[in-house]
Amino acid sequence: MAREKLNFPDPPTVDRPGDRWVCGARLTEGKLRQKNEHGVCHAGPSRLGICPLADACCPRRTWASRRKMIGLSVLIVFIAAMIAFSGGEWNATVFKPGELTTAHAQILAGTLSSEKCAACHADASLSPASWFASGGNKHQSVSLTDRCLDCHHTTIDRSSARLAHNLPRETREKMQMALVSNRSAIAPRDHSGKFSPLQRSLLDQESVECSTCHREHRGSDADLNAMTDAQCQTCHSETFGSFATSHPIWTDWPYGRGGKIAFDHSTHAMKHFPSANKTGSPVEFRCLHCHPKNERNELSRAVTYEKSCQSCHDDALKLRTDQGIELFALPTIPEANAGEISNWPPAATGFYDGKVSPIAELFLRSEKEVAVAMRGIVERDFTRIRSESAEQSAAAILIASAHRNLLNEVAEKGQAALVDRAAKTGLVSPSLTNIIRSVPPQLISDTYRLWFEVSNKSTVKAAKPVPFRLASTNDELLVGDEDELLGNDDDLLSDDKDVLLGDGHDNESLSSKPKRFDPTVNLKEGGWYRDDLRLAIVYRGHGHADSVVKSTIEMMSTLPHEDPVRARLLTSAAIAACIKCHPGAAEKMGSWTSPPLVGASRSFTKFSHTPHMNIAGLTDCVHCHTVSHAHANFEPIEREACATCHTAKAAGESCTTCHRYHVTE
Amino acid sequence: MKRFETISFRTRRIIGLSITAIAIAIVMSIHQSIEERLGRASYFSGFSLFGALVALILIGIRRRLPMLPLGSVSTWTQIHLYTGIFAAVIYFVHVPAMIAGGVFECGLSIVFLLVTASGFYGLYASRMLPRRLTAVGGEFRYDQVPWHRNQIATAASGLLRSDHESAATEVLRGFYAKYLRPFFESSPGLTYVAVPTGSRRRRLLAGLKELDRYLEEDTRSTSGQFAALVRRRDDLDYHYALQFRLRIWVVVHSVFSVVLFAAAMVHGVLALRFTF
Repeated sequence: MAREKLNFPDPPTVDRPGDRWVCGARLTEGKLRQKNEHGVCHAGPSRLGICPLADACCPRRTWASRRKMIGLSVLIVFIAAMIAFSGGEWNATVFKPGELTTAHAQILAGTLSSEKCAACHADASLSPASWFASGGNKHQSVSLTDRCLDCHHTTIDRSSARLAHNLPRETREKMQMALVSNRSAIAPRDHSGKFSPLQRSLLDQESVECSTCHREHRGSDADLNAMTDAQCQTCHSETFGSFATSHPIWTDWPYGRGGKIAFDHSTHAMKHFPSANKTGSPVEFRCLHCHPKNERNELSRAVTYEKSCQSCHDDALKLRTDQGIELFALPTIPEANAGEISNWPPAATGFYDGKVSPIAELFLRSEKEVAVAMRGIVERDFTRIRSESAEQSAAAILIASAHRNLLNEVAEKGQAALVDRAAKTGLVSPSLTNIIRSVPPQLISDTYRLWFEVSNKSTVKAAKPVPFRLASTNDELLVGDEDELLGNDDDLLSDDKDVLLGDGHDNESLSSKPKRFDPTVNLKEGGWYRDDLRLAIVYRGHGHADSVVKSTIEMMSTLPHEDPVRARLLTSAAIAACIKCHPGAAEKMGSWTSPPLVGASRSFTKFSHTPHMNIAGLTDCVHCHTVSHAHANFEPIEREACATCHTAKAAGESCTTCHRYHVTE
Repeated sequence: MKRFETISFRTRRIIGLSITAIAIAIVMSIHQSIEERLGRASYFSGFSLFGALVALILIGIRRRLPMLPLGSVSTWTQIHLYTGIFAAVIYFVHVPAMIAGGVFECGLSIVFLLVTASGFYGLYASRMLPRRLTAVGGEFRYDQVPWHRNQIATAASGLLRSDHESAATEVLRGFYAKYLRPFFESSPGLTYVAVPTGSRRRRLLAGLKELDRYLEEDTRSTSGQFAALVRRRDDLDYHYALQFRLRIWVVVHSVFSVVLFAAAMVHGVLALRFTF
C-alpha cells in the first residue's frame, strides 16, 4: 500500500505555537487521555501554563518559549559571571586582554592578582560600579605613561619622555633644517607610492604616549619594539622607501661621532708603527690590539692607556706633566710699589714680572676690586704693565697685596679659606674640591712665614731687589743647584748668617745654607712643593691620569669658553698634554674614556659589530674601515657597502635595524 | 524593495558580495592607514565590528516587529548574511590572534567564532535542508510532529483488530508487537535525530517482506498498510530530525549572539577605560 493512500485527519488548526504553553493532551492525544479525563480542550492552557479543565493536566512549553528560557538563562549566567569575576580576587586574571611580555610579567609575578592592573593603569578598579563613577582627583593627570616612567625614568627623562624622540621641538627643528640644508647629499628618493598625503601622523609630537608604539598584552613573546617603516616615518616630512636607493647618503659616519679619545689612525698606521720603535724594529699595526673582541664578539672601543699607549708615550707624557700647575706665584713689583705692601719679600721686587697663576686668579676673584684690577692687566702678565701708568701700577700693588692676603688667609684658616673663596666666586665643584683637598695647608703656612716674615727680617740689610724675575723655566743654568748666576745670592745669604742667628728667630732656616728643593729628585711621584726661587707653590704631576691635573682640567671644563683663565690653563704644558688625547675633557666634565657605543650611547644610529663579525668576509676590519692617506682618519663607509647585504630579503632594511627612537641630545 | 526581489539569485549574490568586499576593503585600508599613522586602529576596527554586530542583531528585532514597514524579512536576511561575512573578516583585522589571550577575551573570541561558524552553517542549512525536506514529501509542522506520530501509532495499533484470528494473523501480530509497536510508539533516538538514515526503515520493510510468504491475502494487505505506515513514520521522523537541527541551530546562533553582544559591550568598556 502506498503511504499516500493512508487517510489521516487534518492536524488541529487552533493551536498557538507562538504562545508560551500548548496543551499536552492535544499533541499526544492517545497517550495522555488516561491522565486527562476531560479530553482535549479547545481553549488550551492559560499564559501561566495552567489547564482550564483539570489540575492534573500537563500543558507543555512551546519551542519558542523554551528557546526564550534558554536564552534568558544563558544571559543571566553570563551577567552573574561578570559580576562575580569583576569583584573577585581573580579579576585581573579573568579580564586581562592578553599575556604581558615576559619582562613585565616577571615584575608583577609577586603582586596580588587584584593589584596587578593597578600597577600600570591608574583607574584600575574593575568593579562595574567604578566604570560610571569619577576617579576623583587622586589620579587626575596620572596617565599610563607616568606609570611606565615610574620604572623607566632611569633611562628616559620624565621631562622629555613624551616629546618625539625625547628631544625638544627646537632640537628637532634644527636637525630638520640641517637635513634640508644638506639636501644635496641626499640621493633621489624612491617613495614607491607608499606614503600618501592621507598618511599624516595622528600624533601630537609634544605628547607621545609610550603605548602609542609599545602595545602590551600581546603575548609573552611579543616584541614591544616592533615598528613598521611606515609607522617610523609617519611624523617625518621626508620619507624614504628602499634603503639602497632612497636613504640619505652619510658623509662621515661612523667616524664623526665625537670619540672621547683623539687618535690619528692614519699617522699611526702609516708612519709611527712602520718606523723603528725603541727596540729598533717596526710594529705591526693591528686593529684588534686596541679594539679587542669580547665574549659576544663585540669590539671594544678602546683599551687602557697602559696597554695601548704607555710603551711609546709614557716618557714624553711624564716630561710634560712634570712641569705641573701653579697654585699661585708672587709677581715681581718695583721696589717703590713694594713699600706699600708690608713685608713684601725683597726677592719679589724689581721690574714688573711674573704672571698671575690661573688657579690663583679664580680665588682672587672673590675680591671684587682685585678682579677689576686683574682685568686691567693684559693676560695677567706683569711684564706688560706700563710703569708710567698710575692706574696699572695701582692695580699691580692691589694684586700683589691680594696674593699676600690669600696666602695669609690660607696660612691662618687652612683649606677653609680656599673653600670660602671658591664659594664666593660660585666655583664650588667636586673637581675644585679635589684640588683644594690635595693642597697641604702646612706648606702654605710655612711658605707665608718664610716669604713674608722670616725672609724680610733676614734680609733687612742685605737683600737687594732682583733685576729680573725667574718665571717658570726649564733653563738648567737658571734653576739648577749649580747655578753660577745665583751662586752669589747664596753667598750673600751666607754672609748674613751671624746677623740672622743673632735675631733668635727660626734658627733652622737661617743657620744653614738654604738648599733649593729639587722636585726632580725629591718629588718623583709628584705632589705640591714650594719653589723658593720663583716664589711659587707648584704641583708636579706624575704622568698619565694624575689626579690633580685631571681635577684641574675638569674644573676648567666647567668654566665658560670666554673665561681667560680657561685659555691660560690650556696653554699649560701638563694640561695641553692631556687635552691633546682627551679633547672632550676640556668641553665636558668627565669625558676621559670612550665608553662602548653599543648599549650605552643614545644616538639616532646604532651599530653592533657582533652580527657582522659572524660573516667571514667582514672579520677583516679593513674590509669596511680603510685608513685614509689624505686625512687623519678613515675613508667614509659608503651606503652601497651596507646595501650589499641590507636589503628587504637579506639582512633587512627596516628603520629600526639601524636607528633608535629614544635618543638623548 | 520589489526591485530587489525581482533580480535573480545569482545577480543578487554578486551585488551582495561586491558591496561586502568593497566595505571590507575600505575598512581594511582605513585600519591600515590609522595603524601606520600610529593611531588607535583597533578602536576603528572595534567600533566597525560592534556596528556590524548591532546590524546583525537588528534582524531579530525586525522579526519581532512585523507590523512596522521595515522591509521584508528576505531583504533583512540578505543584509544579515552579508553583514555577517563582513563582521567575520573585520574580526581578523581587529584581533592580534584568532583566539585572544586572557580568560574573558578568549571566551569572547570563542563565542564570536561559534556564532560566526553557526551563521555559516545556517547559510548552508538554509540552502540544503529545504531541498532535502521537499524531496521526502509531506509537510509536517515541527510542533505538530507528536500529533502526527500519535496518529500513525493509533492507526497501526488499529490495523490488527479487524483481522480474523488465523496463524498468519498471529505471525503478523508477533512481528508488530516485537518490532513495529516500539517503532511507532516511541520517539526517534538521538542517533537518528543527529544522523537520520534509512537503515531502520529498510530493516523493518525487509522484515515485513519476509513475512509475506507466511501471510494470506487479507493479512498481506494489512502488512502492506504497516509498510505504508512505516514509510510515513520514517518520513515524519526525517522531517523531525531536520527541523530539530534547524531549531537547534537557531537556538545556538541566537543565544550566543546575545551573549556575544553583551560580552562585546563589556570588552568595549574595558578597552576604552584601560587604554591610557
